Amino acid sequence: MNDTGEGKVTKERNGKRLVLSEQAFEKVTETLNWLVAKTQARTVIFCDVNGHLVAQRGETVGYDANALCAVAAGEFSATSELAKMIGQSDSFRYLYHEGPESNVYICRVNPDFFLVVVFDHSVALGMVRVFARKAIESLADVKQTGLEAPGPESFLDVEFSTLLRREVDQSLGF
Amino acid sequence: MFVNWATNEVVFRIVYYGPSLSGKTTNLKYIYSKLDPSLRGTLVTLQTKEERTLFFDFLQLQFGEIGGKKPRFHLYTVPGQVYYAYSRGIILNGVDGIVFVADSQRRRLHENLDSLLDLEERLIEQGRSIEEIPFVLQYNKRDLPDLLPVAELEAKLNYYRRPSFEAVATRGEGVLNTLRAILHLVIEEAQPSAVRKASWTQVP
Repeated sequence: MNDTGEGKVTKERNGKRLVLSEQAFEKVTETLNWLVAKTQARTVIFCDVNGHLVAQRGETVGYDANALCAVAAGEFSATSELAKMIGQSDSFRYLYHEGPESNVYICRVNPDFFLVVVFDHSVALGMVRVFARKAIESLADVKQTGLEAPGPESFLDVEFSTLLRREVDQSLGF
Repeated sequence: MFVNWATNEVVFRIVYYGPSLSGKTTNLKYIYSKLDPSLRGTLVTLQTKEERTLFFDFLQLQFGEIGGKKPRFHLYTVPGQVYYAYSRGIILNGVDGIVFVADSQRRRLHENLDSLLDLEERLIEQGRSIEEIPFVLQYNKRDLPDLLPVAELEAKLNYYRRPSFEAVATRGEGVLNTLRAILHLVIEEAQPSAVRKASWTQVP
């Protein structure tokens, strides 16, 4: 358990604190491990719809995974709007991009999260589709639980804030 | 704020808002060029062929490890053109701090005001208010002719009396001052509320 004793991923949205429990987080990492092993995908990333990386498995070198999540989240949101425009009752569940060396398969897990699978041409798309679908089924109930609105206590203490401000100033040359 | 306790990352989202061609992307490009590569990630710019921002720009700043936690700041810009309201709404989702980049030229005043109004509307859609979010203004393009005096920009745009900075982003002037101000405010906001100083508003 982390030092808040509440979960593995925490965020604030509109004054409400949302938490992904440790149990849910473990389920995510187990499923990602399973998906990499089954598909031989280069990388599998689990992120939230705002583009925050939650967990990642597979090869991590060669690209900026945080930037990848931000762009994938943006793309997912844009295609949700596209779905609305053509009268879909819900957003698209799968997006696929085929490149000269690598392919990207993005799947919606639930309204809060999606999965990004990066794989090369030695891996069959059909296999990625089948196993990604199974992974989604197993992760569909992974949700962030709402907690009480944050009170005077916060995630960060005064010392952290002071040190971080100092680090920011040094890094920016002030 | 997003906290990943598995990786000990604490992520803050900062959005550069403002009318089209006010210099939001230029701010990010300058920050990217000035910061040591160990302090920042890849600069992602999603632009049209005419170098207008199509969806957003993204840059992660990372300031080492403090007390076991890894603070990260995700800087986003929004596309300024009126018809990209939907994209702007998405990017503002979960925002921790906002930099409003205004174009100081007299003829752009109405676009600045429209963009500010648009910002407030997008936040209201998300059940939020600009008054509860760390917010600074940057009066950019101070090197161009036919500028509005800063006092007039303050009177017209800075009605919440937040910190403001003059800038020439193409030369980097004022860019890091603006960034520093919003980072400080965001860090302060993340502290326990009892110790937050009343520093959101300007000192008279």
